[in-house]
Amino acid sequence: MNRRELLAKCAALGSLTLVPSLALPDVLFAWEEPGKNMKPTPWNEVGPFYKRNAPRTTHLRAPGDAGLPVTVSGRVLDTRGDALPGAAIEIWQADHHGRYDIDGYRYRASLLAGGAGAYRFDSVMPGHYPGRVGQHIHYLVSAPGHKSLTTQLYFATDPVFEGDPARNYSRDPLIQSSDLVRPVVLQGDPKAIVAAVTFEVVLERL
Amino acid sequence: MTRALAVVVLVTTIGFADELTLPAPAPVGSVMIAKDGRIAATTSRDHKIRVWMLSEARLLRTIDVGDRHTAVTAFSDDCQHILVADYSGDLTVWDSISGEVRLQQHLEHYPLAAAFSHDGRYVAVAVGSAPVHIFDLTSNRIALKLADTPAGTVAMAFSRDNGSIATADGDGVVRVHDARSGKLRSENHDFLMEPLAVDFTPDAKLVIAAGADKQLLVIDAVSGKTLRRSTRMADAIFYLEVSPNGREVAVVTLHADNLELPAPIFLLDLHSFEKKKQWAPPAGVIGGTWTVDGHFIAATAAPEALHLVTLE
Repeated sequence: MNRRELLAKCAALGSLTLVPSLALPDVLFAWEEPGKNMKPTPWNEVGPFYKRNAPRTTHLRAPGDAGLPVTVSGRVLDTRGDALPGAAIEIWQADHHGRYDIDGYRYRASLLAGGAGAYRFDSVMPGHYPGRVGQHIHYLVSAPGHKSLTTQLYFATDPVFEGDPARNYSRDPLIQSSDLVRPVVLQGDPKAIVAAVTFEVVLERL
Repeated sequence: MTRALAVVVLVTTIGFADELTLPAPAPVGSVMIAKDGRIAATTSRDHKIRVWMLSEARLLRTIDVGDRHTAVTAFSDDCQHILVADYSGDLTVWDSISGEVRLQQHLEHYPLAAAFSHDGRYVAVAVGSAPVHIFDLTSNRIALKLADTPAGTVAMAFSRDNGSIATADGDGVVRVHDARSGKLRSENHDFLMEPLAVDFTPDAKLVIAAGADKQLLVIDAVSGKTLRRSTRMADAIFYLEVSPNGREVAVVTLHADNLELPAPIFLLDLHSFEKKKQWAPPAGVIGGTWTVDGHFIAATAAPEALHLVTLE
């Protein structure tokens, strides 16, 4: 019996009494995870154009592809901050011109988080397209024992935010949290600039 | 004369279709059409719902929805209830005749889809990543929640007898649930991409679904097995609806490369998938439905006008 189960049993048997302002699930969570609570990554809708069976690759960008090269890296964690190695990550995005490949698998990939929950892939900055405001990359992330998450990564350099994503993120009505808008760091030499973005994904436990 | 009063109605026969043009004081975002074909409601960029009597091209009522970014709209078959939900998660159901609010809820996420039961008693709302909520409009309470799905629900339909509800889910699965208990009845995993549209045949035995795979699947509602599939179409399918007699299905397509470009509508024989009608709209389709007497009405919008076309 772990600490969480022990506490739940104590509460059920009456040997533990909570003040009315405390809910048992919250107490169990705080008891088990003192000081390490991480906010789950906000949900964002799956659409459009999710496609199953994407190839296992970290290289979405092919030589000569139009658009600013971008490298996205991060970790998949749980709400205690523990890494989730082996978490499955599916990503898909529009190309530089704002087009999704719905007949094939361009700019679509499936990844597995590494030993420290780390992942990384190379792509291009997705283009804008009619009907959506912000540039974005779709994520579908799952790990055993955790709630699967669909979300989208946005870029602080997107012109729609006018340099102030904390204030202007809701210009895309689908963006419900500025946490999904990540800073962009330009790296490399002037002839081969690469945009680097870090995006940590935090999953809720079931 | 104000623009609102300048009602210009053109009822012309253009081959297979009758066309009705209504003024639009503000750009129209979506159109909901009652099953009797007599009433339509529009949402517009000026944050107003306008309810129209189509047979007279008359504006019946204007409902101010406030400063909201509309995410989802729905209209009950009998045109009595209008649902509007926004990106902040606020959902309102109005009585279209009286303009009174029938249901008001704040949801934990913005919804992706909504559908009324055919008797108008229930409305199902797909709430982000949360399970689909089914509200009872007689008690204004949540009647039940469907089982959780990993990626949310993007389209829904009740069976004509209201006993089942089919969901097209973001994880690429079409699920059929008991609409009274919420129990999952069947699943179909044969789509590669997310299905975007779903409906039942009138006898509730078959589910028709389609999406970015560009083909229609005919699914056994009980087993979830794919019984037939159409050949691939040129474009993705974002809306479909089975005709009242169950012989045809209306298929509204979209250009995946540019979602705002117009794409054709097809009326297909449901048994053979043969094209019975095809219409190339002048602009993107923003609404459509079969009427009870077997016409499919499609709506498109120009900056200052709303066009309705009847595909006979």
